[in-house]
Amino acid sequence: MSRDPEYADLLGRTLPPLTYEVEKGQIRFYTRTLGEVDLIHFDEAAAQAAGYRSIVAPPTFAFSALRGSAEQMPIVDALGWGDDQLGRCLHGEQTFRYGAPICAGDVLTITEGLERIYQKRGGALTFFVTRTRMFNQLAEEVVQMSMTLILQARANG
Amino acid sequence: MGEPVSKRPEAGEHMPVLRFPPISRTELALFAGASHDHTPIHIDIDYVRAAGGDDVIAHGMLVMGRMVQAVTRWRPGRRLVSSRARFLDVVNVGDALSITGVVTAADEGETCVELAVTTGDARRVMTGQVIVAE
Repeated sequence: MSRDPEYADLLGRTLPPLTYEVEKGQIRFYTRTLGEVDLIHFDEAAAQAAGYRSIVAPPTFAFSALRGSAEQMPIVDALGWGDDQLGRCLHGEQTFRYGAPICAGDVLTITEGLERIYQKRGGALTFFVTRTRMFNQLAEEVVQMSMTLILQARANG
Repeated sequence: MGEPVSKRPEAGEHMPVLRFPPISRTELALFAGASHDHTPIHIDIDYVRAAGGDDVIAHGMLVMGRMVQAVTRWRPGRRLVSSRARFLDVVNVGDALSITGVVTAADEGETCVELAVTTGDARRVMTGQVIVAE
């Protein structure tokens, strides 16, 4: 299944870019739900005193920016996955390489691409590795992310 | 923030353990809204049961966000170079997460911390690494 023609077509191709507007309320909501308490994520004066444009997003927020930029993850749509695959899919790994800080008021341009597909356990597990790049309105790169999704084969084949 | 400069960590040094109370359904509902990830497997027990599962599970990114937080609480005000996580096992409602870490490298500019997240029932649910620019 991992060698389906449509999957092979996607490899190395960058998907159409998406936009995400970073809002103060969303940063505060995300930060509070994680349990993070640093004022630079809540208070504009504290963030600016620390040298930021505005309140700054915590380190894993960029993944939420990707998730929030469209109804479904771009790669999920590109792979043509529906409820069937989503029910058999797990988030396996996630990496962030940080560039410029993400601050409230930023407008992020997000491009995702499928980088690699491989299998383990005789095809029972298929791994999809994506790479995402994000730039802000100043054309600064804010983050590069890599995500690994693990698709389990259907139980009945 | 005005905090005094603290001594840079050394290789082999252990990070203070960061512990969270048991995860509640409310937290998963809030994280769905906060993270834009409203996949039903995290928030809708009817959906999970119709699909043959027992109960909802936590978002991997909620666990990763807390794992990385252990480092930013220990070394506040520093820029992070990178973070990564391997999601090893599901995290359930009621799991109390503990994050431990050890410094594996401390070169001039950067501190590398290897991390592990375990639950109250001693399951290792996530491992990862954060590199801090000191």
